[in-house]
Order: sequence, then C-alpha cells, then structure tokens
Amino acid sequence: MAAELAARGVPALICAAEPSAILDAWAGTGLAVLVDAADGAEPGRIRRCAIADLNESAPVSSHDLGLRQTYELGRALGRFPAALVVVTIDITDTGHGEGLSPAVAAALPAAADVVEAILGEHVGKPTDQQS
Amino acid sequence: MSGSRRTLRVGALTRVEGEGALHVELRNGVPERVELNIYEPPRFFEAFLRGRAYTEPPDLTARICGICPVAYQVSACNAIEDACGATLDPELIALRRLLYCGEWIHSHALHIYMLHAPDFLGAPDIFTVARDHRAAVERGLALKKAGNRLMEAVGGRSIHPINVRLGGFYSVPDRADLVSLAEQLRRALDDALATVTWVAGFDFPELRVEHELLALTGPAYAIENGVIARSAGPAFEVAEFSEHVRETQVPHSTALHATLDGGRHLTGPLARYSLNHRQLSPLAQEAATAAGLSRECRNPFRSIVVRAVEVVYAVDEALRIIDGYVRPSRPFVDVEARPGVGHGVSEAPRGLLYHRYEIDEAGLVKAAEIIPPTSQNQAAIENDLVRVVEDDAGLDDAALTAMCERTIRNYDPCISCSTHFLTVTVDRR
Repeated sequence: MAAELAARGVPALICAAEPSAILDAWAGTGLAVLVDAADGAEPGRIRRCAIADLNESAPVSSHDLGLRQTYELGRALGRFPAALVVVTIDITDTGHGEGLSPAVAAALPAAADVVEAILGEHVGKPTDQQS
Repeated sequence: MSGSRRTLRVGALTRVEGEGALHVELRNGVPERVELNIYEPPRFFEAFLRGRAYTEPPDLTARICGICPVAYQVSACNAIEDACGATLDPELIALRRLLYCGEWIHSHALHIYMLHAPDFLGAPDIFTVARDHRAAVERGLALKKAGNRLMEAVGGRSIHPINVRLGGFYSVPDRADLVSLAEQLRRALDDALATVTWVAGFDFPELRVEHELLALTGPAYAIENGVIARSAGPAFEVAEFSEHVRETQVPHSTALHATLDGGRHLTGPLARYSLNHRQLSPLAQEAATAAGLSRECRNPFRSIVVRAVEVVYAVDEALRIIDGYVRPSRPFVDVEARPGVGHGVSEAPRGLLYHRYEIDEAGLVKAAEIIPPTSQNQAAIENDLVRVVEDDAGLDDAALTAMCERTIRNYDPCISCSTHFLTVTVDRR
C-alpha cells in the first residue's frame, strides 16, 4: 500500500502497531490517513471511518495499545493530527505465508484512490478532529 | 460484613495481557476461596509443533506473545541447539543478549508506565496519567522507543523480530548501525535512571512473601541463558528443569499451574534481583540502593522499582555490548538436525521461560514442552491475593477489588503466554 501511494507521489510512512512510533508520525500533522487491514468477511472490501468508529472494546493490555487508545493517549499528550481518517481493507486469510491474497492485492489501487480522495477533500479546508 | 458471606468478582481484568478473571469469597471476613480464573482458550502450541521441522519453533513460538517474542525465540533456539549439539560463537551470543536487552527495555517500560504506574497514582488508566504527568509518560514512551529501535536494529523489526534463526541470525548489523543507536541509548540511560527515582517515590503497601525464588544465574546478570538458581536449595541444570518444575491442571483455569518440587515459587524480576543483584552493573546497583532496595526484595508491590532498575541495567548492558561490538565473522553457526532431546531457558521480562524439544531422525519435532513464567507464578499470585484479602478485608468491595487487581498486576502476568487475564468476583458471606 505504501508503495502504491509512493508511486502516486503521496507521502506514506510504514508504522509498527506501537504507540510511540504512531504518535511520532502524527505529531504536528494537519491530516493523517491511517490505512490498515481489518478482519472482515469480504477480502478486498475498502471501508472509510473515523477513529471513534473502530470497535476496540479490549482494555489496555501489555500487548500495547490499540489505535483508538493510541489516539486517546496522543490527545492526552497533545500529539495527534488535526484530522484523522481511517481506511481499512478487509482481509480473511491471516495464516502463515508471504504477500497478499489476490483479492486484497487487487484492492490496493482502489484504496489508494480513496486516500487521494480524502486528501483532496481536505485541501484548503479547516480540519476537524475526526472527520 | 462480619458474620456474612461476601463475594468479589472481576469479570475482565484490565492492564494485564490476555483474558482472565478473579473470584474471591470471604466468610466472616476470612478468605475462603481465591481463584485467578484464566479463561482464555488453551492454544495447543505444544501439540501443533509436533511434526514441524526442527528449524521452525523459534518463529512459531514467538507468536505466542507480542510483548516477549524474543524470549520465545531464544528459549526455543537454546533448546534445539542443545538437542543438536551446536555451540554459538561468543559474538553471536552477545548479539542475542543485545536483542534481548531491547525486549527488556520495551516490555518493562510498557509495564511500568502504562500498566502499573496508574495503580500508584490513583489513576484509572494511562490516559489520566498522561494528562496529569505528561513529562513522565513522554519519558516512558521514549524509553520504550529505544528498546524498540534496538530490537529493529538486531531483530529486523520491533514486534515479532524476523532475523533470529537457529545458530544465530540471518544477518548481523554493521558496527556503524549500532554505534548510531548508542546516542539514543545514552539518552535512554538518563530516562531509565529518572524512572527509578520516579517510581521509588511511590507509596507501597506492606507485603512480604515467602515464596521460593527461581531464576537463571550465570557469569553475568542472567538474561539469555544460564543455570537455574533457587532461594532454598542448590542450583540445578536446565536439563533437570522438568524434574523440579511440574505443571498440573486446576479446575478454575485454562492455564496450567506449575510447582517447584511440589511447592509454590516465584519467578521474574523479584527473583532475578534477589538471587543475582551482585551481578548488576555498578550503575544499576547504585540506582537500586538510592531507590531504597536492599539485597533482597520480597514485596511484590515494589516490583515496579526492580523493573526500573532492570531497565537501567538493560540499557547499560546494551551500551557495553555495542561499545565492544565487532561484527561477527559469520551470522550463524550451522545447526545440523540430529535425533535427541534439548532443553532451553531464558529470562523473559516476566520470568523464566523453559522449552524442551524432542527431535526425531527426520529432523521433525516429536514432542514439545513450554513452561512460561505466568503459569509458574499463578500459585504465588493466588497466595498473595489471600494475604491481601486477609489484611484488607475491612475495605469496601470496590477498594478491595482494586487492591486485588493491583496484586495481580505486580506480576505483569501474560495470560496469552500462560494459556498456552481478568474478570474479578468477590463473594462475602
């Protein structure tokens, strides 16, 4: 996904699912679009949502913070993007192996289109917190 | 409440790893039943390892835990290298220890700041601590990040490293790569020392436990290998581990409970510190003394201080290894399959992790056994809970429940590892 975006001239950062790295990436950012895989029934399905829409009911555990919790921590520390949009791509096969399934790989250009569309929507617009 | 039954229930414990619950029943203020219920499904790792190639357990078992994958990789490598008669070059052992230092730094920083500190600051969670103690939490994140970077530099990535293999590594870093990391580690050392000072100022409930202590010991403060030391008996070899430490099933938990020669024992930072404190670096020993620790620490509530001292040691040790680092002449030694049995241990951040593998003539795993620290500590945790409930029975249900949860968090339990945490119920009658 990062390569797909880079080919279009969109700056993309690959981040471990770990709060300190994510907060560093977010700090001082006007708009962040967070792209991640989602456990879903339709591999390759692309969805767009706000961080508050993520279903993250698990409490903080020693397996690090989830995305919503990381965002909440960022708000407490003053390190969060002015606007944050989440784009997810459904995956179903999480077994051992390299690469993406054909359905997920085929969805990458469309997901990149969604990211570019979001960037376009925010050009010149005042940002809100969780658009 | 006296003359009555009282039940405390916590349905899903928070700020611990995995899914567990606590059930406490008191009759006339006396604890009658205290159970740490681990209901996370058993994960059958030992069963599905059978039939896999002897080269696979390090990466497969690393997936047991996202916070201590290096511990699984190293214990698995140690066991299979033992079975196959392989001996690593000293430079490769040093690099393995360096990677493990990264895991200690990041895991301990996470537990100290995000999971444990809220208990001492009267805060419900890390978010409240972050608002009220912003500089401290930023320091914790910086420390954790230093640990993560160390894991990336040696292990290829910070979560589930991909560069570890039997006999060493797929590739080894250049000296310049590690030297550039040293500057961040020197700042981390200041943060680690400040962490010790910070947590030493907390108020600690009084509790002295008499569990037998079990930890690795070796020529240096044991991390990536060693022989097994105990507080009430002679040290023993790794190959004798399963003769002394036995796992049994208990009805209230999907995790096995382990005993040491039939008795209760404790593994983890308190055991390591109490058995090996003289091997800490001078700087870590000074920090421990300044924090008020004596040569032995048997108060689990003070484990946060011991973890902070161990972070100082891990950063100091990482800097020492980097300072003397010479790129190994080969990234790994060959580990040829041969039929036999091997035993491996290492000190995961939360305690001693044992692996045993039997390899067949085709180089496949015939049998596997994994005994993680949390299953070893369960009896000690339940005993501590009884003590705390006895001492604090006068508290109301909410306060007593919170105290019980703190008691469990003292151990930084990893329930996902042990099933291979928590909902609390307190029943007062």
